[in-house]
Amino acid sequence: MHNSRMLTLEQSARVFFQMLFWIPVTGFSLLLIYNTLPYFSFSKEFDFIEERSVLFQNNLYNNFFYIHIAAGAICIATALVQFSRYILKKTKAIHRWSGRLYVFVVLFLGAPTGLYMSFFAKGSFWERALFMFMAIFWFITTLYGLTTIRKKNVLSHKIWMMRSYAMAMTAVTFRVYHIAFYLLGWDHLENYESSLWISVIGNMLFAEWLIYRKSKSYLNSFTT
Amino acid sequence: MKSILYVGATLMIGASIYGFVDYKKASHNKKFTGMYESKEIKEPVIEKKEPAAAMEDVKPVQAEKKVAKKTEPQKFSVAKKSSEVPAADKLENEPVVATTTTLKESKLTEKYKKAKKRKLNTKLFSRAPLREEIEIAETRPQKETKKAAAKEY
Repeated sequence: MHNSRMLTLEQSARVFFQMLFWIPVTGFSLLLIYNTLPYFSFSKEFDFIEERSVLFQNNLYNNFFYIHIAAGAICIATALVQFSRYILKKTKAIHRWSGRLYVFVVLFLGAPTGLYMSFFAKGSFWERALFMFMAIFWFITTLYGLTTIRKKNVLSHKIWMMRSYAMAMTAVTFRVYHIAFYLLGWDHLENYESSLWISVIGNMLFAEWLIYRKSKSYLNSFTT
Repeated sequence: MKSILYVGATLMIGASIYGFVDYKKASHNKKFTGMYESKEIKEPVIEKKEPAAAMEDVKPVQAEKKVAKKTEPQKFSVAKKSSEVPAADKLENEPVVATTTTLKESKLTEKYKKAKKRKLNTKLFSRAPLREEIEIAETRPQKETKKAAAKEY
């Protein structure tokens, strides 16, 4: 039996852990968007572009790169709004329209350009394969998220969108690991590859854990 | 709903075909194959300046001109005013003035110590290869540096 004090304590603990999760997620997401903006000066004097100067001579790669980073920034910005229960309760229109934007950007811009660019990604064959997997997985999960909400299956929609967002957030978590390993003094390529694998697998596992928790509590609601 | 699926799937298939074809084309290019391997990270490295004595050993030409500076001190004061010196003398005097400045600079740098630090920066939050930033830590107080700067001037 739960008394009111216990419930208050549980609620406050839940809010605390939610803040512990969302504050860094929001901060790092905004930082990623902020760091993306200078690329739209279309200058070639960025370390990322200089490193891939051979690829940027190809017009298709060049255009796809700019589309991809714009799509990524929009996805991350819109996704921040999507998971807010407050916004969903207050105005569903914001959730719907930002959701439509997210789906459009992922399916038509972010995932296809990401898939094209994955062929030229840094690392070995396996890193390229991982990038390809990311693009395809991102596309499929977002598509399932859309189809489920069309069928009014909210729970399934939430689950698929969590998976989709986990994939989108690899861009953020990769950078966090990349800096952490850099501070530990790791070699650049080793750091890059490790950060990539850990971010993708870590995000997927974290999303599955959250889904498991959510579905567990959902299933428990039938028994009590 | 189906139209979204078809358009998306077409884009994905198109991107993968184009990607594969372009990759095959690029894989023959040596610049592409060695793109990530050969690229070294550009670091804003500040070379360690050696003391004046060591510089004399390495560059004997500068050392000769340093001697010339000591024997003819008046010429340097004239050399600063370039308009008063004839064109022929300018060529001789100009490099001598340059050596005096380098010597002074090298003496100043003796009192500096270089420290290598990995600084956190918001610009590091990217997929680009991370640069190491090197800082020069000053070991003496600001008053001394002001005096030295005044003397140098």
